[in-house]
Amino acid sequence: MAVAKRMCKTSSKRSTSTVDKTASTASAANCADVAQRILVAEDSPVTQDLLKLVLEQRGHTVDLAADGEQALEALENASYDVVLLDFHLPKIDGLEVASRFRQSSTGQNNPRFVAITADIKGLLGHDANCENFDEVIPKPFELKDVLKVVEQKHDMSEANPSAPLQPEVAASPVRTAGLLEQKYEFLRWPEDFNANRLSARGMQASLADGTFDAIMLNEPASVRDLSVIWTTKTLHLLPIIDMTGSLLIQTDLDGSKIRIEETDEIDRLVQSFHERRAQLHRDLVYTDDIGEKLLGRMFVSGGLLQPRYDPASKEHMSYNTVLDFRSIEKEMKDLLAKGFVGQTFFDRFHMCDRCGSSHFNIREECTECNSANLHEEAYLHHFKCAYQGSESDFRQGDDLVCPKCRMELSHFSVDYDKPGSVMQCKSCNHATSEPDVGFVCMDCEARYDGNSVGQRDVHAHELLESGLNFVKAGRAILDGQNAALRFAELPLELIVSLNAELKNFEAKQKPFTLLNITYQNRREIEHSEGLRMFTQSRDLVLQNLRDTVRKEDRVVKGHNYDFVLLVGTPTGEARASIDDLRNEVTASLRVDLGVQIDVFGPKDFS
Amino acid sequence: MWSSLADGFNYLTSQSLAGLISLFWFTILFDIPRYGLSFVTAAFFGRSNLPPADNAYDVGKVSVIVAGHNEADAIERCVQSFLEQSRPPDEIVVVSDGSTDNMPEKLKELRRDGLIDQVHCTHLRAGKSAACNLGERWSTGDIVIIADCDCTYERHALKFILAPFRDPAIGAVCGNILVRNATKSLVATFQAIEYLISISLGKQSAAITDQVTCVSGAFGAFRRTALRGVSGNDVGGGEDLDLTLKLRKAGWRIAFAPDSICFTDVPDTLGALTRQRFRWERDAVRVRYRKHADLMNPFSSKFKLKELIHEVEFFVFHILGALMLPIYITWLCLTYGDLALMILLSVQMGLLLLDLLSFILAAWVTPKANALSLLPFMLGYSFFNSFVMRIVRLAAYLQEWFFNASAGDEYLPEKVRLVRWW
Repeated sequence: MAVAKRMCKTSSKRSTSTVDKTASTASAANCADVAQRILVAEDSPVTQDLLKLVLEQRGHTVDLAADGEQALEALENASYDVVLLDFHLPKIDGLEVASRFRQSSTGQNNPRFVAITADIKGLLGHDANCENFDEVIPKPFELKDVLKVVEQKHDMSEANPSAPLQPEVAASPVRTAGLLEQKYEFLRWPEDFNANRLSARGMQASLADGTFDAIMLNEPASVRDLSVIWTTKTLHLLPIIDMTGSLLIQTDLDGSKIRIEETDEIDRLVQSFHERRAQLHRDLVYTDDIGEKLLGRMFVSGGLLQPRYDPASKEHMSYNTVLDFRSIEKEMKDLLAKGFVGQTFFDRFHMCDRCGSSHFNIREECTECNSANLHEEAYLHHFKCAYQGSESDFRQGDDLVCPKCRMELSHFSVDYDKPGSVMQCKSCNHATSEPDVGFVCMDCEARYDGNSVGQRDVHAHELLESGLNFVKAGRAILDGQNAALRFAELPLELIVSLNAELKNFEAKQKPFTLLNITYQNRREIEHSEGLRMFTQSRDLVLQNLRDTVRKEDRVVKGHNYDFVLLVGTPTGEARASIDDLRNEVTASLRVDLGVQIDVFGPKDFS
Repeated sequence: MWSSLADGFNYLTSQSLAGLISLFWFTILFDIPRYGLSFVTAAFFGRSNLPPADNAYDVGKVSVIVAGHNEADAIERCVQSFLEQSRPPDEIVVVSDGSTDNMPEKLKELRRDGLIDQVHCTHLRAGKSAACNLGERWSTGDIVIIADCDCTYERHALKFILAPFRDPAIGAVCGNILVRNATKSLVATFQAIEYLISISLGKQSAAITDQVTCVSGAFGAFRRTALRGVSGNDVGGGEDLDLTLKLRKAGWRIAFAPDSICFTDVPDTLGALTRQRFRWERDAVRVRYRKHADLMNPFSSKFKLKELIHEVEFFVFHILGALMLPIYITWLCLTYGDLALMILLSVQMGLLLLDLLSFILAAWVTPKANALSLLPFMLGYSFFNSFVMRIVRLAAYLQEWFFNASAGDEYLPEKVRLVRWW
């Protein structure tokens, strides 16, 4: 009944009759808990109608404004709980409305300002929006998002209705995450994957879909939770933004402190990862081998595997990668042996041999019963009578009296001295000047002394030149020659042709030659002139080749290299004319691609 | 020369008894009695008075206390020596007395390996007495054995040193000391013979008449109640003699265990030997006649006839014997001129005979010593003992008397030396 009454009141303002009718048939079950008074400032009538319909159905009161002026007027005349403002309004834009209102308001009962806009970039670009808008909903909007925003419990504004949001107050991660998701494509945890499986989106990302920018942690996670990153393909090459601050050392950005206007940092992170990922050879992008993945990760994240002290970890340190310590240790050993990475000493930790933990309680203990309940006292030597015992033997109130000869000791270093200290065990009364240092493992309660406790050295690792070469050139480089061919790398059509030629050779001794075209200066050209220049020049080379060779020969474009199959040409003949060929095909180029042509004959495929 | 020797021989053989006495008064007064006592008692009793050694585990808990300064190299061997005993000790307490080498680390290692029971290391050197007192303060045995770091012990040493404790009147037992490095030099060999005769034989016979006055600091066993009763060791320089005298004064009897053998290295050069003996003699004089002067005073409450005997004995045979020697030689030369040499030689011949007999007796009562190998050195020893050692002793007494040499004794840290009143 109350709902209907309110309906009647608002219906006197600008609203269509059709809306009224629909509103009155609202079912009570659909109503929100608390009816809000809402002002919708929107210049599109369709949007106006939609919002009003939906919100009134839920039991809220809705007023409409078609431009900035009307909005301001409405704000002055009535009090609202929520204001849905389009950024781009005629006369005065949404931002102006909000800021003017705030300036002139008494501070009491300010409504929440929610921006609805298609121009997220524009909104994010404005410095002032943080002060004025509590929420941002992007267009095209989801109705459920609108409802969520309108109906969410807003403790902060209830507790402190007068104070406008201060710039210093951090935007809540959820809000920011929502915002960021408009700008970037995130793979979210736990929404898109858990420890065992990926969602459809996750699958998509693991195919090195270039649309994904980063992994976002929306709930606290452990390294183990994120293990699927290493068991699937390519996900380990994405930067990880931690919105919860739970894995700060291992992840690439602390998202919990990011504010709307600080997205530069995110930009830089995502961009640098993208760029470096592009340089990675596909061998390493799609590899299943953890060692190669780790190399790839090191490369895209800046070339360094850096340990940091981490009290939350069992090993007391963590690397800047979301992978467990044991795996990293194992793979690094291998990679060191191969010469791909170097190491710099970081620190030495005590380690429990039984469970690998570095959590120890370290203290002196009795050599007899291992109790830590030791009481330290000074040895005291009375020169005159040669009595040497503990200080408590001598103590009588304030005085020191020799228990042997009853003389009072008054002059230190003349009558007596204190040549050391003795540890008396309160548990078993054993006394010694040399107690053991006892280590007790906090995780498994194993006990060690200073000599028997294990040690673990931790190193920082950096990619060495051979490692860099490997990540850029792939496994081909492992053979030691740049010119090595791998059958599996050849394009399919070429393989088919090659097979045919090989059969011909075996049957009729018909010779053939395969030319492998590589572009030595590819990286430099891409860097200095741009990718486009390289691609164009390469295509030109291929075109020239097609024009030069005979009809029965084939020119095949590969992934990183290109091929020419010379049917019926003996290898020796081809080899002799290679230089001429090269000169001919590169003569018309503007840039020097560093074209290298390697010759392979039938024998190379046996 | 031969003619004068012949003359001398004739002269001697023509003397009457009274004449001989007046000629050889020195030897008669200062040498023969010294031999005589040991001779008689040992020959009479032999080894029959030794208690059976089957009570080794009945005496209660046995603690060994070893105190050393900079003994990192020697300590492990010493500890192993005790662990090898047929009756091992129940507790080994080792004290590092202000060591500056890595003795503390060595001790920690030994403790970690379970070879010793207590480790006490001090940063400042206190001297052997205070170090032993420290060890004793924390030891828990009923019988306390004080041992030197650089000594090693025959396998049954503990068993035999514990044997006399079956008699509740015994407060301390002195172990036997033999020389380990006898073959190092002639001086060392002579000392090997000397130890055999004066310690092994000498103390065995002294024990019969309860005249053992010094339980050697190298190896001695004490009943804890006795030790505590006399408040342990006093400031050093003869602390072993001092402790024994304190025990005797308190009424305890002191035994000697000839089969309980400790081996030690002796100084192998005359210079080192001289310094050692200087120190021993000085210490003995100070302890006997200054610290325990009351033993010579008939009006003191501590005065006992039994103690007087050994006090006088020491005075007569050691001090007077040394002082009189130059007087005797001078008198001999003045009175008899050329004949003096002959007379001295004949004296020495006589003494050689006595020494030889003593040696044989000593060898007989110390079956474990390798006495036979020392036999060829007896002649040299005899001369060495009679003349060289006496001169050393004389020099020691003079040095102490005129130059108060004890005050500069390096054996004791200065801070302690400064407060020692005797």
